[in-house]
This record gives sequence, structure tokens and C-alpha cells, in this order.
Amino acid sequence: MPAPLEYLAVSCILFGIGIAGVLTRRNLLVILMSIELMLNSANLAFLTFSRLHGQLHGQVIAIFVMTVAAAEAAIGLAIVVALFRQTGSVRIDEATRLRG
Amino acid sequence: MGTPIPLPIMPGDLTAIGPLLAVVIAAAGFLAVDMAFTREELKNRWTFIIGIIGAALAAVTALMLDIGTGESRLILGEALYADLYTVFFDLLFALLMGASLVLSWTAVERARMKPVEFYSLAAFSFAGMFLTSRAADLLSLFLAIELLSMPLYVLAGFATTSKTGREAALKYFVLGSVASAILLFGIALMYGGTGSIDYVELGAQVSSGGRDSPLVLAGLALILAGLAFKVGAVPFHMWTPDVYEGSPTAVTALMATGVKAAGLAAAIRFLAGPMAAALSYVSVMLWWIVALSMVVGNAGAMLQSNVKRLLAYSSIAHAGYILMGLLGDSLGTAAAVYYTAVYVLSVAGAFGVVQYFGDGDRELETVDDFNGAAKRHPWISLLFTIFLLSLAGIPPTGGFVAKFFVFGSAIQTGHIGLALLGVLTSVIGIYYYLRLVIAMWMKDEGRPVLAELSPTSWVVLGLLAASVLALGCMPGWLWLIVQSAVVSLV
Amino acid sequence: MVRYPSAVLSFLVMSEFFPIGILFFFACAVAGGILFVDSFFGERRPNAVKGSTYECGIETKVDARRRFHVRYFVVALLFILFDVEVALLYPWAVLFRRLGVEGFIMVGIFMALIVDGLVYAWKKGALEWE
Repeated sequence: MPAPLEYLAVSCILFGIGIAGVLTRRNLLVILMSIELMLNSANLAFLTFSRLHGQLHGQVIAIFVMTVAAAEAAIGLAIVVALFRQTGSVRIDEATRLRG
Repeated sequence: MGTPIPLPIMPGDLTAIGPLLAVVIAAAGFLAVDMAFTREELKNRWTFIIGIIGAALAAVTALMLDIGTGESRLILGEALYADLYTVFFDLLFALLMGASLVLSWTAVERARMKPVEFYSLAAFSFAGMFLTSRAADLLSLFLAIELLSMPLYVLAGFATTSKTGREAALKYFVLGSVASAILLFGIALMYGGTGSIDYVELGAQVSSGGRDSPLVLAGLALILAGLAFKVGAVPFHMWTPDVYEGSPTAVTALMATGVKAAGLAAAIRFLAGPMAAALSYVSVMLWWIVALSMVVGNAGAMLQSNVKRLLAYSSIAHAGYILMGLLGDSLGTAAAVYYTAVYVLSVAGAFGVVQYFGDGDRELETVDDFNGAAKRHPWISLLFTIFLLSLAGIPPTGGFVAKFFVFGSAIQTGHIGLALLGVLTSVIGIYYYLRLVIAMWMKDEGRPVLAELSPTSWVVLGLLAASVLALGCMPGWLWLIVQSAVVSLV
Repeated sequence: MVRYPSAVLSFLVMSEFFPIGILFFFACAVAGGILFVDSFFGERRPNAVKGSTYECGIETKVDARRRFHVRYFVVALLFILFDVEVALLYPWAVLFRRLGVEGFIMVGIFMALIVDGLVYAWKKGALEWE
């Protein structure tokens, strides 16, 4: 059986990709996907640790996080659609009215 | 088919989450009202009635909690706490909910939002706030913070007439969910390092040599970063000015009072509760957060001409002052809780007043817009002045006493440099708060228009101002309550 | 520590899936080989009719990459929400008998809250197509 370290490495890499995606990408939908990626990388870490400690806590948390992620995705998409109707674009560069 | 598994619900547990149930039922009630009636007046009337009943029920059930000998009690399968600390914050949030119903109504209608929809979303957010002060494990903490944030992401972009609301909603959503994800990853690492998510269990693990585990350290740092975002402390404050300015004022008032108080309630419980041993590992990080928040918040506020941005930057500074209390001993923690209460009352009052100034659809935006307010509307200007003086920390208001407690405990525990920095930045604070006061009382060229205040709004604003003054003149009674609440934390 | 090559190899050879693996390999090899050979000897004469999208013999009218109406998003959003909440029911379903009536009541309250949301969406016309 592979060591848990490898799963952890994957989880950390996914989290890093998510953060990098939020910081560098300009397309709102890609940013939304990056946020989902971060949440799911945490899920992978929870499951790994759950297996490592031989407990169920981590798996229970993962189910909760899945539902929270779905709610967050729904709200995010709703906001993007609302902004698209206003500006006709899904690029974050367009959202620059508030400055200072 | 196996032995039955009893649910972890003890008698008395439901009373202990009474305020939470009251608010959730009120939220469901708002939805029912929206479905049941078609005429706007009926909808509005029932929304107000249900909201006030919900807030009153939350306060009453909070007071009904049997706190016994003052020790913390774990309820619902050790997921939540019930103690004096939760009662204290329950009362604060119930008061906020009532104040929001009375004071924000005009602003909600001015922004062309439907009150019933606004208050149902706000009620769900309040349910999250009631959860934050009682979270007893990291999963409850995460769920509470998500429940409190998500309705506000929607509310920020809810005003269809606003040009900036949707952009504010987007920024709040993106940065807020990143903060939630960081918090969650921190929780995952913490769980990996200790094999537990329980505060009590975690505290025991950490104090018995968890320092060696890099997982625990990284987890703590990430959780602290996530919480610092929610309370808007530097360097996680970037969203605050834009979101506060762009959102409808009624929503900004909720963010500045409820969200901040809830984030602080969670942070204080997390850092000063059973996990207090962990505080020493992150105290350097906390020191920098406090110092930078005070400097950046006050310096930023000094440069603003927009009132909402000014209050946003000043709220960053206040987050710094409150977190300073956590660096001290249990007296410092009590000072932080006391400061939170004073801050919430003053800001609720200040935003309450700001919401009534304006002409038709337009609200007063800049400091200069308030020129000559005292000539035309002396009474409300007087109330506004009291709230501003409290925020600036000038006696005889509660803000002065709160700052005195926080700085005093910092000096006692050896953080003299930080206390000095706090005093210096407070002086900057006096400058920009007095700018607003001077605009109202000393200048007379402007003609700010005031919306009509209902008698209830006068009563609520008057009560808020009276309590701010009372906390400054007779701080003893609340200080005693706060101290016993903090004792029950550990 | 973990000796991958030998472990992987022994797993492959010992396992009962080994014959299936051989079958899979040959299937890929034959299909790939035919395509490869075809690319050498086959004749290619493309024209506009041949290159057009085939949609059950009906002539194509518009480009496939067009904007969806906003109501697709609304339905999709509602679907995500109500779909994922079901994940919370699985643990209860597994222990249905052992959790007894109390568990049933608790899940009933949970479902009632979700159904409240569904009824609200319905009443607000979020499920109306036209």
C-alpha cells in the first residue's frame, strides 16, 4: 500500500494549483473551478488522515464539505450570471468600479 | 439488525440551542410569508412581526439557559458549547437582529430590495452567527462560518438598482471562499497532526508536545489566517473597503457588526478556550496581525472621503485593537469581549444613523455631504456624535473604557510597545472621526436631507446611545459579566 | 521502502485480471494498428458536404457553441443544490434500522427544511420553463 505521504502530496499540490488559479486566471468560471479544487484538495487530505488515524471523523467531514462546496458553487454561479447580465463579460478585469 | 444507536441529544440540549432554533424558524417563517401573501403591505407587516418575535424569542431562550455553576457544558454530542459566553453573544446578536429590523428597513426599501427576502437571508446569516460563539469542534466552526457568510455573498449583490453591488458581491464571494478553503485546509492539517477535531482533545494534544508536529503548526497558522479574513484584519483585509462601499448600506451594517462580532467570537473561543496552549505558537503571527491592523486601518481611514470606506478602514483598526486583548492573560480576553460589545453597539448606531440620511434613492456618500447636518437635524446629529466619539475612544463613552482595558492588559503582560502603538494610532482615529463631527456641527453650507424616522427607530437609536454612554460611565456591571463569561471559556 | 516494479509486476501476473489485461492489450493493439495502417494506404478526398456536422441526417442550422439561456443555469443550480444534499442521507440510510424512530424524525426535520426551499423555488417560478 502506498504511504499516506503520497496522497498528502497530491492534496497539497491540488491546493497549490487552486490558489495559483484564483490568483492568476482572469476568467471567473476558471476561478470558481479553482475554489472547488481547493475545497476538494482539503477533502482528500481529510480522507487520507481519516485512514491514517483509523477513524471516521475525516469521512464525515468530507460529506459535509461536499454539500458546502455545492452550495458555494451555486452561489458563485448565480453571482457570475448576475454580473454577466450587467457587464456582458465573465472576465474579472471588467469588475473595476470599486477602487481605492 | 444490530443494536440501536441512541442519538446524542440529552434533555436540555434543545433549550441550549433555543436562540438558534428561534432564528431558523423565523427564517423559514419569512419564506412562508413570501409565499402566502401577494400584497406588499401584508408581506411587510408580517415580516416585521415575525422578525421581532424571532429576535425576542432568541433573547428569551438565551436567558433561559441554566448555566449551573458557570462551567462550560458540551451539548449535542460534544459539537457545541453552552455557557455564559454563548449567552452573552446570543444576547448581542439578538439585539443586532432587532436593531437591523428597525433601523435598516428604510435603507432596504431605498435600495429597492424586498424586505421579506432581505430579512430571510439575513436570518440565515444570523443563525450562523449564533453558531460561531458555541462551536466546540473545528467542523462546527467551519459550518458556522460558511452559514454566516453565504447569505451575505448573495445580499451584497442583491440590490438590482446598484451599479456596484454585483461587483462587491463577486469580490466578497471570491475572496471569502478562498478564505474558507484556507480555513478548511488548516482544519485538515490540524486533524492530521492530532487525529481529533475537538477543542478539548486538541488542547490536550497541543499542550503535551504538539509543537514538534509541523502539521499542527501549519494548521494553526492557516486557521488563524482564515479567521483573520472574516474579522477583516491586516493582511487579510483587502476585501473590506471595496465590499463595504459597494454593498447596500443595510448589508454593510450587517457585515460591520454581525460578521465581525461572530468572527471575533469564534476567534476568542478558539484561541482563549481549551486551545489556549496553542496561542503561544502563533503569538508572533498574532502580534504582527494586531500591529499592522492598527496602523493600516487608521492610516487608510484618514485618507478616505467616502463615509462607508472610512468606517470600513476604521473597522480594520478596531479588529486589531480587539485581537490585542488575546495576547494578554484572561483579563485581556475579557477586555477583548468587552471591546467587541462596545464596538458592535457603536457601529450598529453609527450605521443606523447613516442609513436615514439621504434623498430619495441617493444616500449621503462623502464626509462633506454631512456639512450642516446639526443645524437641520440636531437630535440625530447628537446621537451620531455619541457613536462616533465612542468609536474614537473619547470619554465618557464605552469606547474609551474598552480601549483602556485592552491597553491596560497589554501593558500588564509586557506588550508595552504594542500598547504604545495602539495609543498613537488611536490619536489618528480621533482625527478622522472628529472630521465627521466637525462637518456636522461647525460647517453650515450643506443641506443634508433626513428620511423620516419612525418612533421605534428613535427608541432603538436612543437605547443604543444610552447603552454606549452607560458602558463608559458605569463599566463595572458589564465588566463583571464579561469576566465570568471568559472564566467559563477555559 | 516500497519496491514498486516487483510489487506491480507480481500483482499483474498473479491476479485473476491478468487474462483480461492481455485481452485489453490486444484489443488496443489491433484497433490502433488498423488505424495506423489506414493512415498510410487510405485515400482522402474531403469536401464541404463530407465535412459538415452529421445530426441524424437533419441539416445543421447553427454553431454548437452558442450561449445557453439563463434558465438552464437556474435549473442547473437548483439541481446541484438538491442533488448533493442527498449525500447527507447515505450514512443515515446505512444505519436506518439502528437509528430507529429518533433518527427518522431528525432526518425528517432536515428534509422538511430542504423541501421548504424547493417549494419556495417552485412558488417563485424558478422551475417554470416558459
